[in-house]
Formats: sequence, C-alpha cells, structure tokens
Amino acid sequence: MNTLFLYAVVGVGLFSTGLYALIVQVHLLRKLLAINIMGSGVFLILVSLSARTTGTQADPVPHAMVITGIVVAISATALALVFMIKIAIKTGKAELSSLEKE
Amino acid sequence: MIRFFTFILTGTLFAGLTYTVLSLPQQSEGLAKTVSAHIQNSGVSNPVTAVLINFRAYDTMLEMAVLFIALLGVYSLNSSKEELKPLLQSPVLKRLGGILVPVLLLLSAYLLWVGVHAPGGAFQAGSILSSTGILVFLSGWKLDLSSKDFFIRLLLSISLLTFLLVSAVTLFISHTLLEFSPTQASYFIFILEVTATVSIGITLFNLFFTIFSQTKEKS
Repeated sequence: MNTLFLYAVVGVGLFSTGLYALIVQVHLLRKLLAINIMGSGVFLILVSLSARTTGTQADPVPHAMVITGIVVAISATALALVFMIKIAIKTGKAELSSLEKE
Repeated sequence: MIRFFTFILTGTLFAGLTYTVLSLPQQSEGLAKTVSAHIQNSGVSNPVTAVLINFRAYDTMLEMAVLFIALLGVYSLNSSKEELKPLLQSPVLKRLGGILVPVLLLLSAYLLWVGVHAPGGAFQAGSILSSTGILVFLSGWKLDLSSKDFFIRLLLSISLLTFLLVSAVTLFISHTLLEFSPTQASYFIFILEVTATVSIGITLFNLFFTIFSQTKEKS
C-alpha cells in the first residue's frame, strides 16, 4: 500500500466528518466551518492522488484546480459570513429557524 | 436520534469513498506527460503556473470573475457607513507591523517572481499581499483601501479587465480564446500574473474589511 493513499483516506475522513457536522450542527458559523473542512478534504484527496505518477513530477492539473478551488472557497466563505451576520442582526441569533416553530 | 442516523449515513459514505479511493490504480500518469511535452511552448517552466495561466487560462479568468462577483455581493449587503477603528491599540504591535510590512511585500514579490520556475505565483503572492494589508490595519495604522476611490475600484477589477482584453487580443491573433503563441506567451503571462496578484490582494483585503466592519456594527 502506497503512503499517498493514506493521505487520500484522511481526505475522505475530513470530508465525511465535515458532512456529519454540516447536518448535525445548528449554529451557522459551525455549518460554514464544516463546509470548509469538507472542501479541505477534497483538496487533500486531489493533491495526494495527483502524486501517483511514475516520475518525480506530480500531475500539475489537479494542483492548479486546488489553487483555483481555494480562492473560490475563500470568496464563497466571505459571502456566506456576510449572510450569517445579516441573519444574526435581523433575528438575534445565527441560526436558521426550523419549520416546526412557525 | 438524528445524530445517530447521520453518523450511520456519513460512516457508510466514508467506507464507500475509502473503498473507491483504495480501488484506484496505484500508478496513473494523468496529464503529467502531456503538460511536460508542451511546457517549453508555455513561456514558463513551472508546470502548475503553465496550467493555471496558459493551458487552462479560462479557468483562472472565470475564477477572477467569481472573486469579483463575491466582492460585489459582499458590498451590496454592506450597511455600515462610519469610519473604522482597529480593535487593538498596542505600541508593540504597531511598531512590529511597521517592521514586518516591507518584509512581507518583498516576500509577495518574491513569490510572484519564483512562480515562473518553482512553486509560487499570483495566488500565493496575492494572499500574502492581502494579509499584509490586514496586519497593517489590525496594528492600528490607517489604511483606506475601500472602494469609494476610483483608483481602488480600477485595481479591484484590473485582473478581470486584463483577462478580457487579452482574450480579445488572442481571439484576433490566433482565432482561439486565450491561446498564446510560444514567443509572446511569457509577456502575456507576466501581465496576467502581476494584475492577478494586485487584484487578489486588494479583493481579499476588502472582503475581510467589509465583514469586519459588519461585526463592529452589531456589537
């Protein structure tokens, strides 16, 4: 077994942990952090699996995709943070109201 | 109860994805051979930079558009008007920030330059640039990069504008979107990298700054 598959499995673990937290946690900041952890897991899988080449040089295309993905994740997180702050100012708490209460 | 079912669900997903990852072939060339075969025509010698700015340049162009649109979204939700004062007022931090700024600017320029032949490039340099701005702001120095100024607005959009201009030019020269001829590729890449660094740096700083001002308004 190759060590880089270990990194890929850790990435899968991060993705699953993030998905679990995204569903279970109620606070919106925790949900946002969970989405970011899921994204980090995907980046780790992409980078580790791109090193499966025979030569010393890893496949550069997934690396470029990860760099692109990091910047997109940052901007999406910033936009989501502003939404969260707006919800917190309007309703007094950073949670989405469930249908049962209404 | 929901937690238990979610745990079972994500656990099953983890097992399935792990099985999928482990069943992938041990050796896979991907596109490494294709990239190294064409790298001498790309204008740079670092394969990641070549993929980002040359082979898949439309990816980077659309990414700059995403960054720009995210900033527009954050701006349109911004409601605070008053001047901001930094949270921390420490003479040590202020002096240290002043010392670190030239070093960080140098590091940013180095990362931009080294991206031609080694890991580095516009994104890394841009994020160092934005963190320099955040450090300056948090250490108590006055730093106004908000978008009221026309010059700042130009710098925020200059990367996207340059990308659109370059794609129009390459469309006229080679009839293919963002296809650089090997002799001119390095010039195009230089312009695109520098403008992308400036835009990414100032955009990320403005994203931080706007969100920071929102939280101040709440308290």
